[in-house]
Amino acid sequence: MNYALQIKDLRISFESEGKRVEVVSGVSINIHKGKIVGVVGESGCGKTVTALSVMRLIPDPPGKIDAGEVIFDGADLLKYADRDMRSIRGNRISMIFQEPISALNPVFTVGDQIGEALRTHLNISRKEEKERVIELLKLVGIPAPERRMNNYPHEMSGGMSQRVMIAMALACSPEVLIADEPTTALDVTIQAGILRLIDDLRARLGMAVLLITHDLGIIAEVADEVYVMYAGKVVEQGFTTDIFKEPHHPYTVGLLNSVPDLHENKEMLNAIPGVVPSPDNFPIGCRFQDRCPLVIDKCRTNEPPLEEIGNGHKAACWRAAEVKQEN
Amino acid sequence: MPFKELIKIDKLKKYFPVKSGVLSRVTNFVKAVDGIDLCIAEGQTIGLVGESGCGKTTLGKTILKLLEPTDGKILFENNDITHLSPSKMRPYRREMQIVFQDPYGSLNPRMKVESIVSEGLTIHNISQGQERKDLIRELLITVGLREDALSRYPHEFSGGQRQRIAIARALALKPKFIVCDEPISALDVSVQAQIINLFIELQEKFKLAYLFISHDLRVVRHISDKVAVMYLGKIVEISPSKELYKNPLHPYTRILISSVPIANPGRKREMTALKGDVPSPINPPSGCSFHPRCPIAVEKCKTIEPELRDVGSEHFASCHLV
Repeated sequence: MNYALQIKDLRISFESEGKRVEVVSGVSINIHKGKIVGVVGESGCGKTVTALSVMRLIPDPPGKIDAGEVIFDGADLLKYADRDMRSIRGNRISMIFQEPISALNPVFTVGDQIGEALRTHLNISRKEEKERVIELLKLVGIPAPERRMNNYPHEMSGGMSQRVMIAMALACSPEVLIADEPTTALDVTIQAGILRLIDDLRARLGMAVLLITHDLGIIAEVADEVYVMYAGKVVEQGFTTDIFKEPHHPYTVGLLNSVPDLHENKEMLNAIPGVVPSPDNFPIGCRFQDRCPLVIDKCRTNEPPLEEIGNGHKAACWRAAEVKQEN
Repeated sequence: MPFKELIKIDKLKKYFPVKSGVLSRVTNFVKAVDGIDLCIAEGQTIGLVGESGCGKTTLGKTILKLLEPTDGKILFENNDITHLSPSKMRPYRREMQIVFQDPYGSLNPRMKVESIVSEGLTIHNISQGQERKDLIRELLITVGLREDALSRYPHEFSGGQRQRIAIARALALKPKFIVCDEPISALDVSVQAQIINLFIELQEKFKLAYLFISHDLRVVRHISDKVAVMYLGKIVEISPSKELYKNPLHPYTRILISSVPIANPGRKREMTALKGDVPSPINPPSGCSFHPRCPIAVEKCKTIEPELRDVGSEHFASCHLV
């Protein structure tokens, strides 16, 4: 097995106003060791909830994992007792979040917060801990780490705080890193540095990365494989190069076309009409039907399965073979 | 076609006092906007880009006089509006509107869409009764909403639809100029394109001029005639947008453009990251304020501040090495 992590047929629902609403409907994601797997989709598509379920961080209630498995090191994480899960979380699987400023505790120094992971999971002395913290801060490119480790989060900029978050996530050399929109809150100039850092560390430490983002540009830059999610389902998956060259789901095509290009001229953007349906009101059949330019009667009655097109490339569309990207 | 000048700002400055000590004495200033010259022609879009904290939003608000300028001049159709009293300013307010970043925070949740969109009409005493209702109905259709939106509340709408309501409100007084302050950053990718297209359509229809503030360089290129790059309260480069992206001259602009991820995995490139953070605008570095982060800085940059120089074909940059 060369999978670092496998998510199998995951279903998650939330209770809202007395009703159970399914927000993730049968999502499967395979993450190979040492690879970066990107998950792309708009708000509400279920990408963050999927990631949180791997860490077993879904608040229950109102959330509930109804079905599925998360296979890590031969066992199903969803069946772990809370105590066993605690020895994995932050140790062998760790996560970085979108808002570095709010994810850090304002009353402890950053050195203290990075050290916490080490103290919790590894049996080391105070001196070793300090050395390791300095080493980690150096690894993520923070200048003068000996001084910086005594800083409080408010004394650091957004880019610096995100680096601290990454240092914290890497403290115990995890096998899997989950990065949920790691650069969305940062300036574009800082973004490139953080992405390069994640890519670098992946290559150097051999960890697998699940990278969640809404930006196709970021996916194209760093991901080896992509999963495109829409309304709680994976609608297309495959190698990054294949997806960008030959997308087979109209939603992927729509996403690709709605981003203006930095070097080519377009008069009008090909916007996807309409809005994402709400989870308590998913249509019968394909969930993209109301916004799809290729919709046919069958789409309104039967849900298309995720089917292989070749080379691991899969799409969930009745007309996948006809989908072409026009530019 | 020669453009008719709509707004001209001249050495505009906006400083915020920093107070400290028990007596809250003013000890320093944050130079958010520090001597900016800019011309906006009728029907033109100027894109404004830069990192967070560079003063983009402050510049937009100061031009509209939502913030009192510290120094410099603002001319609207050749009338100096810099120091007008609120009552004298009122007729100009009709001509200048703003659309904010967050459509969840910018619409009053207790007001119906009809009242939100017509608030400006009430203040300026324009049209009554049925006539006004028709006007608003027409506006809603123009921005792509249904007429029945009239009697609903903001929470019933999605982010993109709310931004359409905010745009309808800005259009109600038939302005000539709209400041768009990150109007799409809070929206989903597929909806962003809808709103960008709407801005472009409205501009053609009503001959609007925009100051389009955004940190997304792809969007700015798409929508703008001219792009201005701001760094620490100053414009460091300004040029027609295609020229700027094809031939960026200032090292900061080059780094900004090269750090935009490109949605094409075949086009692998070196991601350039900028070292360090934006310095504090309270004590900006001496000389060229970009020199501590600049990859090509020379001795001169540390002491002498470069001026915004014309390098031909309407392209201006402030760098000693250009």
